[in-house]
Amino acid sequence: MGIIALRQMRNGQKGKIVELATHDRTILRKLRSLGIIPGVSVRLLRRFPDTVIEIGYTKVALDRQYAALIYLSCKD
Amino acid sequence: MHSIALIGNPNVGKSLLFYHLTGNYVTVANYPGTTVEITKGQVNLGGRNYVIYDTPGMYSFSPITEEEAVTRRLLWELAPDLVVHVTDAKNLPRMLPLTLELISAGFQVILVLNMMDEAEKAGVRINFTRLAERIGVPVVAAAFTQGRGVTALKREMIKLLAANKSQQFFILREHPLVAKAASFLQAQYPFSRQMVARLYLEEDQEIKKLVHQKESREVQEYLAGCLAKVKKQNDNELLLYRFRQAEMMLSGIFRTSTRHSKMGRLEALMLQPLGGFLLMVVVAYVGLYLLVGRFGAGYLVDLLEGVLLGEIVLPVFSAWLHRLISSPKTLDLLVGDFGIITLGLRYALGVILPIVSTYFFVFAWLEDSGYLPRLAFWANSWMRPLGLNGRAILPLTLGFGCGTMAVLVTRTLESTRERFIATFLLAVAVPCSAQLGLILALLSAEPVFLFLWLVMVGSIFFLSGKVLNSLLPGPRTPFFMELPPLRLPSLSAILQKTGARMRWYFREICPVFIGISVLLWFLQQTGLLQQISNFLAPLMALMGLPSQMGTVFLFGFLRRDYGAAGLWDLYQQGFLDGGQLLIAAVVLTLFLPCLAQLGIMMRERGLFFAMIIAGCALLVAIMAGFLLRLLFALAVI
Ligand SMILES: Nc1nc2c(ncn2[C@@H]2O[C@H](COP(=O)(O)OP(=O)(O)O)[C@@H](O)[C@H]2O)c(=O)[nH]1
Repeated sequence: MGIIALRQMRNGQKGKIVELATHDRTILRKLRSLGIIPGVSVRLLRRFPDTVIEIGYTKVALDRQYAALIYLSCKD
Repeated sequence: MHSIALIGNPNVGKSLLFYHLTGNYVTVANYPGTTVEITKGQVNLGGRNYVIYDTPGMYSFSPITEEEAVTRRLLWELAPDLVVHVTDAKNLPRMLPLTLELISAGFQVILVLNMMDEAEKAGVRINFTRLAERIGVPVVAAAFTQGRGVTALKREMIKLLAANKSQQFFILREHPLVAKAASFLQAQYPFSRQMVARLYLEEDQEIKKLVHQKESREVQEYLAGCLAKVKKQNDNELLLYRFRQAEMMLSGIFRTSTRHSKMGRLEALMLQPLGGFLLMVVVAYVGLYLLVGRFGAGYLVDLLEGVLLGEIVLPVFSAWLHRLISSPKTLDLLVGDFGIITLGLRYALGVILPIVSTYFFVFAWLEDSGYLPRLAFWANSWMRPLGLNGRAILPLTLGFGCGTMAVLVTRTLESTRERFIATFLLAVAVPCSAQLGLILALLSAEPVFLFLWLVMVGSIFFLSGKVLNSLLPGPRTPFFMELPPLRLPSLSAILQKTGARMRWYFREICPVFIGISVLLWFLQQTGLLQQISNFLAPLMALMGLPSQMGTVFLFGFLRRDYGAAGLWDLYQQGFLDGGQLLIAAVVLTLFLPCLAQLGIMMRERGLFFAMIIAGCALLVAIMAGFLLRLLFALAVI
C-alpha cells in the first residue's frame, strides 16, 4: 500500500486521497467544491490530454496543475 | 412579500423546479452557469403568493466565481424566508455540506434530493426519515423530470412558511474556533454569527471588511487572535469541517452500490484529442453548417422571408396601407426602404427568427446531452495559448448564437483577465448565428471563399487571443469542471428551452429593430444617411467595396445580425461580386459588435475596456479587409 501521485496511476485504478499538496486556500476550495478532499476514494479515468477522475457518481475534469497536487494511497 | 430562494450546485434541477413551481422556464442547462442572472418568479402556495428566485449555481458559502458571489449576495441582501436546497441525490455526500452551511447561516431550509430516478438506477439507498432527523430540516425525494416530489415539496414549503422562524431549535455543531470567534461578535448580520465568524476565519474579503466596519476595536482584536490561531493550526480542518460533519450524518443511512459506471465508448471518444476533434467537426458541420446555415438561413429564410412575407403578406399589407394612409412620409416610415414593417419586422421575423431559433435549438441539444462540458475538456489544451481554459468554450460557443447573451455568460469565468479575453474574442472574431447563417448561405456557393473566410476569421481569433495573453498581466487559471452524465435530451425540454431563449432574444431585439428602422428613416429623410455613406466611402474603397456597403456596416453596428441581413440584400441585388462578397463577409464578421452587445460590454467590463475592445475590432476589421483586397489584387496580376 504505497502513496503515489494521481498522475502516476493507471487508467481505471482506484485510490484513496491522502493529501492535497498545496496551502493555497482558493485551490483547496475549488477542489473541495468538486468533492476532492482527503479521505475520499477516486478512480482515474483518463490522463490525457488532461485528467478525468470519478468521485462517487461524478466525473470531474482537472487541469494538470491541479491533478499534480493530488496524492493517493493505492492497494496495488 | 415573503420570498423563497432555490439554491444548489449547477445542474441539479433548480431551473426545472422553478418551472414546476412558477410555470416559467428559464434556461435549463447542463453545465455550470446558465442561470447567470437571478430569475424572479411568483408562486402560489396554500392560497398565498410568494416571490421565488432561481439562482446561479453555488457550491459553498465561499464563492469562487462571480456567479457564486451573486448567489451569496442574494442570500445576504434578501434574507429569503425559505431556502430550498436542491441536490443530486446520488452525489449527496458532496452536496450535504452546503445544506449544513445554509442551516448554520440561520436559514429555514428544505433539502430536496432530486434525480432519484438516476440514484435508484445506480443502486443508491438513502434513509430519508433518519436523514431528516439528523439534520433537523425536512427532506423531500424528487425526480423533477418526471414531476415526482413536487407536491410533497409544496406541502413542506407551506408548512415551513406558515411556521414561525424562531421555532427552529436545531443547533448545528461548529468548529470550536468558529464558535469562539462567533461569541465575540456583537453586531447583527443577515447571516448567523457562526457563519460570519467562519467566513471571517476563512479570510473572506467581503465579510472581513464588513466586520471591520461593524465591530468595535476590541472585538476586532479578539477576532484577529482567533485568526492567528487558525493559521497556526492546520487550517485544512476548518475548510473540511462541514464535509466531515456531513460524512458523519450520512454514515449508515446513505449506501452506494459497489457497481461502477463504465465510461461509454462515445464518451471515451469525446475525451480523446483526435476523437474529440472529429466529433467537433461533425457537430460543427451538422449543427452549424447543415442545420443553421443550410436549413435555417437557406430553406427557412426563403420560405418565411421570400415566400410568406415577401410575396404574400407584405405586398397585401402594403397595398392596404397605401389605401389607408395618404401622407408619403408616414408611408415611408412604415413600408418604405427603411420602413418599420418592410425593413425592421421583415428582418426580425423573416431572417433573424428562423436562423437564431435554429441555432438555439442546436445549442439546447448540445447542452442537454452533456456534450458541452466534454467539449470544454477537449478544448482546454487549445485554449491554453489564448490565456483561457476549457471553461471559456461555453460563452464562446454561445457567442455563435448571440454575442450579447454570451458576454453575460463570461461571468462564469474565474478571473477578470479571462473575462476580458473572452469578451474581446466574442466582440472581434465570433460571428453570431444570424451573421453566421447568412454568411454560410452566401458563401456556400463558393466553397473556396467559405474556406478562406474560415481561415481568416480563425487566425484572427487565435492571433488576438495569443497577443492578449502575452500583453495582459497575471496567470491563466487552471481548468476544473464537473462532467455531467451523457443524456439523450428530451425534445420537449429542448423546445421549451429554445422557446425561452427566443423570448429573451426577441424582447431584446424587436425594440432595437424598430428603433433602427426609425433612425434610418430619419437619417434618410434628412439626407444624413447619404452623408454618412459618403463619409464612409473612402474607407470602403480602401477595402475595394462599393459605397453602399457603408450603410450595411452602419446596420452591422446597430445590430450585427441586421448588418448581415443587409449584406444579403446587397448580394441579392447584385452590387457585390464574389471577391467583394468575401471581403465584406470577413469585415462584417470582425466589425464592431452590435449596439446591444456593446451595451452589455460596457455594463460588464466598464466603459473604458468596452471602448478599447470596440476600437480594436474596428481596426482589425479594416486592416483585414485591406489585406484581403491586396491579396486579391495580387492574385489577379
Ligand atoms: N434524470 C433526471 N434528470 C434531471 C432531473 N432533474 C433535472 N434533470 C436534468 O438535469 C439537467 C439540469 O437541470 P437544471 O434544471 O438546468 O439544473 P440547474 O442548473 O440546477 O438549474 C437538465 O438536463 C434536466 O433535464 C431528474 O430528476 N432526473
